[in-house]
Amino acid sequence: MDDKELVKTGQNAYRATMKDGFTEILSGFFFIMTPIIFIQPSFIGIFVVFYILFLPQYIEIIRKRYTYPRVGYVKLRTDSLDYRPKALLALLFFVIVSSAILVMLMTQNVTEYYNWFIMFPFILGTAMLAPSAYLVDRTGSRIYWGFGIVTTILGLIISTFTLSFSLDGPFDGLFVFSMLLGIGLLLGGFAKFVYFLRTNPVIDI
Amino acid sequence: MSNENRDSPLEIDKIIHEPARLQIMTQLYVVDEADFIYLMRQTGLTWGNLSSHMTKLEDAGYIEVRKEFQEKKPHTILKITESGRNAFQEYRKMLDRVFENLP
Repeated sequence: MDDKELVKTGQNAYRATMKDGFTEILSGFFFIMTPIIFIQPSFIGIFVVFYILFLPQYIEIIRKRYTYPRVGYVKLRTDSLDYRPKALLALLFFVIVSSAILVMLMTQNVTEYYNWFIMFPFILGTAMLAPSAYLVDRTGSRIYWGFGIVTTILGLIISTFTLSFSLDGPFDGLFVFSMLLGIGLLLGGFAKFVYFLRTNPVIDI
Repeated sequence: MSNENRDSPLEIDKIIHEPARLQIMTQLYVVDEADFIYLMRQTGLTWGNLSSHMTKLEDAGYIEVRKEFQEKKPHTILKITESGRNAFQEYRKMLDRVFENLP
């Protein structure tokens, strides 16, 4: 039994934890709440209580009732994460350079902070390539590249649009981006959950 | 000295060296813990089969078993022990040694 087979077994285990769609639902809530904190920083307390304390516990209750009786319970190992600093640095470099090029092309003014705030959707969207790469590595499923590619394109479209047609505030583009992404993930997560319930009957032992 | 090494039989752990138990140990090796239903789905073993092999592994000290109730239903969680992890690693090394001199 070689390392490749063990890696595949580990990837199967990781995929099993993502079958019910709750990862997407939790991510969706995160993206919906993030711009609200930018606009109203006082909400950060509510965010901490809801997202960190309340939501994971509630999701666990739902999982005990609906997920574990169908596909079983597995707790993944929490070994130290492989951060791959070179890859992350390369991604950061790419994001900064691409953003600078875009700002230069659209406004001819890279020193203006406002223009850089407008680039937040593109920066955030491209940064999602990092979790995409992580999920591809942990699950062995290349479909997760789709998430990073979609967010990059979405971020690019919103940032370019905002640069071309100045909106009211620098965070409007980020608000639209986060809301679109959050709602998309929420809807996708719920759809995945419904599909999961229909295709995985409860195992009676 | 080399003759002795070649002639002495390789000691393969017979507890792990059984297809069903090897599957169980492999699954538990890559995770922190897992329950019966998860292992049944991943290994394709029946409840009775899994239960019997689980007992053998537990008696050998390779796994620990925790039983609890969820909504009045029994819930059995299995976790590989440190000695189980070491035994599995030794088993893998032994298998590598079996095949290493093959053309």
